[in-house]
Amino acid sequence: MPAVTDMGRFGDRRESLWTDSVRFDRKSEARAACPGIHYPVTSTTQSVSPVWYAPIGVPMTPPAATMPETHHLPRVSHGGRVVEFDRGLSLQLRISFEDGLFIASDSRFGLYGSGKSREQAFDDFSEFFVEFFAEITSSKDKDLPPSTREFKKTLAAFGTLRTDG
Amino acid sequence: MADIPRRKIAKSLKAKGFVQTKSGSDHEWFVFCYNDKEYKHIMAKISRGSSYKTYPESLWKRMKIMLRLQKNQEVHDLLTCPMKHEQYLEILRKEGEIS
Repeated sequence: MPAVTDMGRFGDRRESLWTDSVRFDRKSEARAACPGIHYPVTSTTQSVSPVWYAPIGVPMTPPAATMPETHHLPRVSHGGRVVEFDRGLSLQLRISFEDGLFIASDSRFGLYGSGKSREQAFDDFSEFFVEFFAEITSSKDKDLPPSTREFKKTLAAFGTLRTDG
Repeated sequence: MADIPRRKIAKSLKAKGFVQTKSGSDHEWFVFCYNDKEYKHIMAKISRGSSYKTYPESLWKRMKIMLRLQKNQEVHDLLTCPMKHEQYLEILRKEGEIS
């Protein structure tokens, strides 16, 4: 019985969350892609050149180039301006690959950038972060509503905007 | 949840009180306005270009924090219009963002 047709037992919930079965030419490749597997990766019953499948319900390991990364940034710069995180905190940036795009995001402020490469995503994020930081911290308090003034204090307690170089 | 066309996102944001403040070749910035005040920390950035004609969930859900919402479903409802302007104002009031 091919593994692909034998995976209904793992249930719909898992199947909707994870990938469909993927064909591999070697058993070792299938196992490498499914490090969490707790049951055998089985082959088809075709007599010539068996084909190996990563079963439905097993989270797939993406290629190394698209693995998520987390960085702790001491500064973010763009367009000749730099935000230095000089108050003892760093900015945690996560870069992941989703829906065909690299996405760089921070969970503290909820800013993100995206692009077709990690570099593009990081650059897009940097532009957004520096622009956003500058826009708010350079505004006069009297022009801001109370909640934005509070947010401005949060930003100011986190980093300092400087001209690069 | 489904992808959302970029044009629909822009239209929905404007219907919820957001005003476009910047428009470059790469992005459009929308800032929330209420009672003639710009709430610059409540905002959304929409990317332009052929890769962004529609926004997949992985992108639109990342607007959640900047829109001051708690759930992905709320973001989806705001960006596709089931959420009315008044409902959004009520959420922002509860969050203490506006008074």
